[in-house]
Amino acid sequence: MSESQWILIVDDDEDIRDVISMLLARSGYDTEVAEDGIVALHKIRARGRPALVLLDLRMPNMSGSEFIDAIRKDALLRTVPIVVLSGDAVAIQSVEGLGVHGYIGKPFDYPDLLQLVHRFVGSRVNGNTPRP
Amino acid sequence: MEGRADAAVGRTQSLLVLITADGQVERAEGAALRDFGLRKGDVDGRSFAAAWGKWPLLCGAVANALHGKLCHEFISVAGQPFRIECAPRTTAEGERGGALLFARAADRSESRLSEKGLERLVRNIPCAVWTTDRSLRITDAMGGPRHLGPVERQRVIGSTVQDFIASSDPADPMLRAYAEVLEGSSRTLLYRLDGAVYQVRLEPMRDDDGTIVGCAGASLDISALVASEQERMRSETRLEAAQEVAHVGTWEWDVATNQVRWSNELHHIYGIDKGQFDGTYEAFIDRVLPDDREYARSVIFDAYRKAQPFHYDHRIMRPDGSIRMLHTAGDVLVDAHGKVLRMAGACFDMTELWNTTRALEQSVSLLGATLESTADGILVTDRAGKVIAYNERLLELWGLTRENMKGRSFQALVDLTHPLLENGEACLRSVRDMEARPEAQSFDSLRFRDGRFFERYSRPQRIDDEIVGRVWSYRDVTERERLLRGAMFLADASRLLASLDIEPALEAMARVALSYFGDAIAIDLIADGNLRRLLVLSCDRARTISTELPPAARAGQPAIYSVGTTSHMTIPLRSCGELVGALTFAARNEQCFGDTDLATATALGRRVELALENARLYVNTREALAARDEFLSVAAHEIRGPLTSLRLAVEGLTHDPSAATSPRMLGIVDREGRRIAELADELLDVARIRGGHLRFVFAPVDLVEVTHGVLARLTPELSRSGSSMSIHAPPKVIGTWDRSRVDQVASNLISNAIKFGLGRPIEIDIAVEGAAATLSVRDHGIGIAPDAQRRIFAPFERAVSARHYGGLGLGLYIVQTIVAGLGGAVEVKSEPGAGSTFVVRLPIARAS
Repeated sequence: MSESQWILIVDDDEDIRDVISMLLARSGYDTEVAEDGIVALHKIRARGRPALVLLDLRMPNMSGSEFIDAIRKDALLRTVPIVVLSGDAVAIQSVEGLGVHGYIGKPFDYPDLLQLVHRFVGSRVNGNTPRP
Repeated sequence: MEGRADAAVGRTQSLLVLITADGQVERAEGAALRDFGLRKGDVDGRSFAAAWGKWPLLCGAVANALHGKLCHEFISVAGQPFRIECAPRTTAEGERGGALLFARAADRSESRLSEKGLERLVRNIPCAVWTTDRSLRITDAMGGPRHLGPVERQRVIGSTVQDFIASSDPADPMLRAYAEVLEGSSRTLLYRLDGAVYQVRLEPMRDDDGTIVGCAGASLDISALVASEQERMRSETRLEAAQEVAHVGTWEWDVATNQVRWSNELHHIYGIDKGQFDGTYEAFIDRVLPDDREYARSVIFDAYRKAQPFHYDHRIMRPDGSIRMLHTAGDVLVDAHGKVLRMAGACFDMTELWNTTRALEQSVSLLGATLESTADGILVTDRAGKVIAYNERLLELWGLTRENMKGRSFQALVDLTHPLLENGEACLRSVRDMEARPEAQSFDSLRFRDGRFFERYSRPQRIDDEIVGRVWSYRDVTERERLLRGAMFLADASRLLASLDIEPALEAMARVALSYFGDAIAIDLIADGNLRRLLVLSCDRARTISTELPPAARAGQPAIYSVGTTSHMTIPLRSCGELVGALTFAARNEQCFGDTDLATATALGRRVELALENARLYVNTREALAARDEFLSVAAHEIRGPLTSLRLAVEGLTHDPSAATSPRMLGIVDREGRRIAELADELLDVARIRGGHLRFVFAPVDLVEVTHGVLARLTPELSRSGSSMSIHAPPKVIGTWDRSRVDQVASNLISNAIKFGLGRPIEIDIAVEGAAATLSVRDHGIGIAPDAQRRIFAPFERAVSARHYGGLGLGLYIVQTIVAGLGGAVEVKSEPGAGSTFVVRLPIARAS
């Protein structure tokens, strides 16, 4: 995995962040977590461009859509794939026009998430679909 | 005789006077003129009576001659006897024409009647005298053949009465009368003989010893008298019949003797038989109806006093009680000295006429009263268009005077009044059409320039089948039209105001109201105490409407007032007793708003108020629906969050239970399970609160202990947030509350402080203030904006965007509901960026 092949998980729900991070780590992915948009931007600034951002929309301080806005205004980060994780279908519709690369509705199963991760980051364990 | 007299006059001491039919002396001559103290020529042309007035016998003879009677008289003039012969003059055609008088001085012996003279006398008067012996043999007779019958005197003498009357029947009235006379009685009888009627007087004739030796008789031919009496009676009968037919009776009152005579018909009119009337003035007055007696007396007395003709109407009462109306005309007859002799006249029973007249008067009076009491203006014209009748209401409606109406034709009135109309031309056409078609009826609406409305009905006036004119009836329907237009306008306005898009609806309504009410309309709305002009519409660009509301409108009362010369009207708009706006109208130049306008505008105001209220409710409902939708979205998110964690953790545990991360995964499963249970509880609480089913279990609870328990439970969150927590509390604060609910309140407030505290210190104070315990939770986080402070206790409300903060937005709503249920109160003090302080006060004793 190159230096830049890391996945950023942004969600104000600590348990979700943790469980996704743990499962992706078991599948061989490098992950970082952030509880809101501001923290997420800090992490990017610290580690550089992530391979994928898994993004919740409803968060304090900086919401998901505000984070997308901020990323899309940055020439270097503009093309970073973003997959929205949300339980709110209305909120997902509201960011459809903002150029997100995919979304997955909460609650979801891990294989569905992993499939999306594969699409943007690729397989990590013997070319097979990693299992949690 | 005139020729013979003329000859005698020339020779002897005599006098000849020719008298005209009217009693004038035509010619008088003769030496004897001197004996009468007159001279020839003095008397010609004078009245005979005036010239010879000193000799009444002479005048009487002339008067008789003028009436066709021949007269012989002896008179003495200055001791000289004169024989007078006076005879009627006849013209060549045999008609009477004046009289002739011849007087001649006579010997004194000449003045005694000779037998010859007696005979001549008897011949010349229509009578006969005779004597009979006891055997009724006529012993002497004298009289003209006409009177004695066809038998000559000499042949009569010696014949018997039976021969003369050609009857020997002892029952014959004449022979019975003779028989009685021979017994000593005198008898007078009427006897018919040979078609003539004689009045016969028979007397017994006695000798010197008194023995009845025969009879003396005298007869007078009264045929002419009887004929004339019969004619009079026939005439009277005819008069009576005529009186009966005409219901005219006659009367005569001899004033001196107070004797009143009535004709048959007058008896009939009074409903009584002949003989029932006492024949006095008083008896007459008694039959006059008491109400009319005084009047009758006064009329009669007045006529008596002035001695002049009179007439009057009075009522009488018949014995059967029926009332008759009589018209009496009378005259007063006076003597030469002006003394009233009698009054006479005729009486006409005009009861039927009177009744008919009364009925007609009643009818006319009824018609007049109807005409004047109707609310319609009525005008009647004849076929030529001349005004025949009208009522006061017509004048009132058209603003006309009686002077205006004098001599004006209908066309002139139409010309005078129709310029007042907006649709004058159409109305004129209709009038012309009616003139061209007398049998037609019409109905027109007249619209006045000043806003009034009349209805005009027209139909022909007929007598039997003939059209004699036309009746025009005008009705002022302004009020009705206004009400109708008002109702239609209000219906339109209601339809337009039914839209929930209130401002366009108000504008559409204003356009309709502008055409209905007048020249300009303004709508003002009051929000947060500030008046905002929503719109102003005006037909005249120069027209403005002040935004200053009149005092009455500010006080909530509709008002009509003037601004300059323009009539204005303002209708306040209220909602829940608060003034929320106003509708203001300005009238057209010549018009003034009235009560009807005010009532219509007020009704419009009520509809606008309703529309504003509906719009407000609609906005509120829409907002409430949006809040609910948002809540559902949030609730879904809030539930999906823990569900996601739970499922992923379970998946992780399922596939690799021995992994190093498994204990953390199990912790996640535990926490998220509880989170879901809490969310479910929160939703259930809301459902209970909404349904009014929130229940409390009261028991002694230590607020300090509960708060510490909550803090212990929230320690992981607190540590993740980075905030520090300090608590100031006495050892115990015990009150009668519901433990789990107090826990819920503390938990919500402290969770919020951690959530929005930005990692800054959080202070908790528990204290007792009087009978209440207070729990104060203070953070120094993001704070709450003032407008949000009002609504954070409402369900589904949150002070912050749901995009940033999770939670159902029900926490503070539940807190407030629980605190209220425990008899306490919760308040917030906050400043954005400086943090918030929530203070809960709970009564220590159990709430009632």
